[in-house]
Amino acid sequence: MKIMLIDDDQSCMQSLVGAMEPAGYDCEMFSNPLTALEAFAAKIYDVVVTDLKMPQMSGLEVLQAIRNLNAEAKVILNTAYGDPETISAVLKNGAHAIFVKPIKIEDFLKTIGQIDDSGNPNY
Amino acid sequence: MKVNLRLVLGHFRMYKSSYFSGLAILFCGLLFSTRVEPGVFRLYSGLFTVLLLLAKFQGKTAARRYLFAGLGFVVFFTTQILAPVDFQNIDDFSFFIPILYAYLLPDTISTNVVAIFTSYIFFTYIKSVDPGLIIGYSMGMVSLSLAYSMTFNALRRLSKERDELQQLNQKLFAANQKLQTIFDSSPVAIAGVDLQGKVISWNRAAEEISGLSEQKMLGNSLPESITGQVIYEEIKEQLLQGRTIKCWEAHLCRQNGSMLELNISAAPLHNQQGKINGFLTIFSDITERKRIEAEMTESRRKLERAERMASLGMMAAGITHEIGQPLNALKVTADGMLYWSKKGNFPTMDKIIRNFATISEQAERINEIIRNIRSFVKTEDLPKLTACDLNIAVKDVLNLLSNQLTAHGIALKIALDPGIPLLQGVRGRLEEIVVNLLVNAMDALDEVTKTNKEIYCRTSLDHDFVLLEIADNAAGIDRELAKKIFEPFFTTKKPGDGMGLGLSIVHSIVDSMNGVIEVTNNSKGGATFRVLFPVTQWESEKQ
Repeated sequence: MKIMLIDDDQSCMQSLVGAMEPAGYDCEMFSNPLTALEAFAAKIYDVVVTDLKMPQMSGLEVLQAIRNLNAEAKVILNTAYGDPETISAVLKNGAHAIFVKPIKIEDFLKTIGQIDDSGNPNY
Repeated sequence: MKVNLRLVLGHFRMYKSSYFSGLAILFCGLLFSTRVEPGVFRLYSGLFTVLLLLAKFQGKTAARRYLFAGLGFVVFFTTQILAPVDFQNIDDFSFFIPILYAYLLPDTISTNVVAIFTSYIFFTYIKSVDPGLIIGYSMGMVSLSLAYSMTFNALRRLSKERDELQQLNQKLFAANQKLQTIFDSSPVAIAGVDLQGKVISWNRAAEEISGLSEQKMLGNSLPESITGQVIYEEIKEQLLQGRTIKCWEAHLCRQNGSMLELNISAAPLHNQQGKINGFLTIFSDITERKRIEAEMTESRRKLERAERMASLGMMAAGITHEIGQPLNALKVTADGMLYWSKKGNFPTMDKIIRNFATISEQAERINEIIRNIRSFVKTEDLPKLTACDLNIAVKDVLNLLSNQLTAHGIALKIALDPGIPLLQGVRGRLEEIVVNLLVNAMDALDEVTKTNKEIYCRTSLDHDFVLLEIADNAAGIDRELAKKIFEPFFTTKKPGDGMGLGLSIVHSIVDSMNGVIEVTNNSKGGATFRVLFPVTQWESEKQ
């Protein structure tokens, strides 16, 4: 399974990749969401995991852009701000899940695992 | 000089019982005056004879008639105006008579002496007659056709001079009155003291403010509370050198126990020779102003507290985000290992070591953030401000950072004005300002690719402010960002490169030293940070 990770904070992204390593997923990291969107348009990713607050564009905008490119795309958002407004706005825009930092890795891996089990609609 | 007189015989009756009030005779330039008894009187001298007669005029008020002979000239005074007479039965007489001047007594002290001079003088002339016989004689009226104009003019001039003197006196009086009115109407207390410190003038405002009357103050020393004992000696020294002292503040305890705050100024007083012969002290009651100032300070303190709370709220959000990131990385790394271990998928030693390194790194990142926050919070409670030399602070920092600047390919241009006064601050904190601004400029220059990277560091005196300028020739600051640049956690740097506290720390340190910081873009590119510290007069010794 191919996973796209977007976060301007390299260490957060790195730690997620480290935690997913044993599952054997193919992870690709982007620190700039604009570059990530270009990559998404060119390649197929099973899951997109993006941070919410980034300088170039917000995770919500990334979510909307990706859903525009692929309405079925699974987008998971991570955020340091777990306020209800943010969560509901993200979910309304079709996010697959939202995790509040610090991420409970068990839940995160289970969510990723479920997507993996359900098979990839892109194939 | 001989003068022809027309003697007019009338039908007046004489009364022995009448009285004289006085007579003055001007003879040979000397004025003789004598108290004359009522009744008929005769003066003899080798030159003249004067007969003094009384008369009842048409049954009305007593009038005096005088007779003179052989006299140079005569000035006489009467308490009554010479009354009109009956001109019937007038005969002409010619004889030797000098000039006669008659004045009303009250007029001799007024300005109009000349105006009552009349050419009709009543007198009777009897040559070498026994006084007893005079009574039986008729009275006559003589028209004086000529007078000694010289004497007349002299008198007139004298009178005019007296007139002028009187007018001058009135003017002086009016001017004095005007000055007194100003002196007493002044809302500012005015006190004059001589060199011994004794009060020589004390106006109404001084009475009102001090509660001490002019009567009580004149000739006494100023209340010690006004002069402020120790200061006064210092001030006196300055005043004696001819200097004016402006605005020193003192307390005054009034007799009713109330405390007043005074603003006092003083200037030397000079005599006509230009020598200092006393001091002028003016003081005003600034109790109310002081109270308002204290209130304003208090409300400003409240506002600052509110601002601090707001910035604390902003900080809390910043801290949540800043610490949240490394905390997340740390927890995800550790929990990931635990998750897989529970499932029997144990990480390799290599992976464990790598993860530990990540955990340690992230813990250090959190530590760094906490250190920065502590530094930020510390500025809220600065130690007491002392006199600091900005140039020394700048030089010390430049010594520390110059190698680093060179390593970053940056040329440093320094222009420190050796004449700048000391400022009110905290030495270590002043250095922190310079470090932060230099590092900020250095970071900005790291972002650009150019060969002639430069940082300018200047100090100067700008009016009442000591100015520190740190400029760079990097890309400058976006106008929108300039508004936020001093907010805590605002940064244009990448995560992990800085958490956006540097400039807000600078801002709060500058603020705590009563300074101002501003940032502008240079016309030729790059930004200039200007820090202005108010110049303060220092009582304490220079550091």
